[in-house]
Amino acid sequence: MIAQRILDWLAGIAILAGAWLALTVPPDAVQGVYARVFHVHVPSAWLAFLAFGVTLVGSLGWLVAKRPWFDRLAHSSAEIGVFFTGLAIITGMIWGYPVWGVAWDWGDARLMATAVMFFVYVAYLALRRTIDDPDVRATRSAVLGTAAFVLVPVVYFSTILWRTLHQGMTIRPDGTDMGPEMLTAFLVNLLAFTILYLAFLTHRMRIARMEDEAAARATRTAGTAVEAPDLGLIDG
Amino acid sequence: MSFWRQAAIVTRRDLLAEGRSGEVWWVVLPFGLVSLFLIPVAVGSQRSLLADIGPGMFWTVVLLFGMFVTLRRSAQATPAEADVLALVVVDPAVVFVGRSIASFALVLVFQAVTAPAMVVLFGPDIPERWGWLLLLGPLTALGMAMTGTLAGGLVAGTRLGTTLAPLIAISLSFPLLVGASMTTSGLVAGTDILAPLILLTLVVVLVAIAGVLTARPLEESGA
Repeated sequence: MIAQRILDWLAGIAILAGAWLALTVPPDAVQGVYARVFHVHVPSAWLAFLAFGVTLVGSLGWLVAKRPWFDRLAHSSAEIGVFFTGLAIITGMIWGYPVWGVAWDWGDARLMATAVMFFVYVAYLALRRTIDDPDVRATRSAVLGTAAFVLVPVVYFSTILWRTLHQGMTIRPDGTDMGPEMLTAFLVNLLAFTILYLAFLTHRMRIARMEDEAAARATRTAGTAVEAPDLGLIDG
Repeated sequence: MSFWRQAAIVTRRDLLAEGRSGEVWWVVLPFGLVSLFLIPVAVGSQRSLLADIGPGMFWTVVLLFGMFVTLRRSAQATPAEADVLALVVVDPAVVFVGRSIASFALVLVFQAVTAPAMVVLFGPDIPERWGWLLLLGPLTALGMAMTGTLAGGLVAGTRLGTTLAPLIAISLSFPLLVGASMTTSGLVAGTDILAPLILLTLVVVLVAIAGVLTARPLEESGA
């Protein structure tokens, strides 16, 4: 519990520090103040990839070990991933409108692939809601959580595979075009969002465990309350 | 009995069931043709515009209606059929492969009928390297067939399964649509088609691996 509190405080402080740096860093030479959206947009996209990667790990873990912890990990991470994918899309549109002249470009591979990835993981969450049996739900969603990960590398490499409107990688193996102040603000925000993800994940997993326990308790209660009907077929 | 012999029996069973129900031939295929007919009505009769959008519209129709083909009722095992397959110890991977081959054949039929209709209605430029289309069609059909079979297994017996299955299948098939349409555009424009073809092949292979490896857990979950 103390570790959770520390993580929560750490996430809060890191997010505040990241926001302060993002708002005080000198404006971009070309894009001006609009470039500040970058400090939310890119970390959100990074967290989406991380979250769906963790969903893959949880899904494979369930398929191999059949431990509920893995299912809770996959489910919790997918929920957070969907949230951050949505945030990345919305912040991208806010950024794109003044810079590109349009909020949504149908010809852009990164935008389209990200939107599809978002829908696949929404379908993952929808699938979970349509199945009552916990083991069946965990297995089916683990299969989808594994198959859906095919889209993650497609989204990540889309700016390399297709040269469309979206800019390429910000930090490449050969370096970056960002100035030192902007780079520092970016890295702090990346770290802050990652800590926030961990805080969200631990909270969501705790809630998921409580939900599982409540469901199991409800089943046990119903089981003791229901008795077999006496049809008078047995003498004595 | 060998793996492929068993898969062939599953394929034959699915195709016979489809032949009796006629769901693809009498319902999905006419619906797909009507949708191809509706597009020019909606966007206007400008020939150059129709020629430009024709191939893309074709792949969109193939993706959307091809999913109805792969998720057809005759491809879903009844509980009794699933029990029989489990009792005679048929490997679930065999069922996945057999069912996918049947869907692959039906999607190919769908493509074979709608492609000439698209050429007549939209009048697109026929690429010089049109022979590649003979590879592209089956490759896309194979990917769609396996994706649809996987999605059908995921939602079998669930609430809202009929609504949810197309959402899962179409979203997962997005790389197939991208690969197919980019390859077609590349063929028409006379540019390099290697990258989209590799993407398409890679996705097909990955879906095949995912389908075979997850067949048993899905079967154990009652799919």
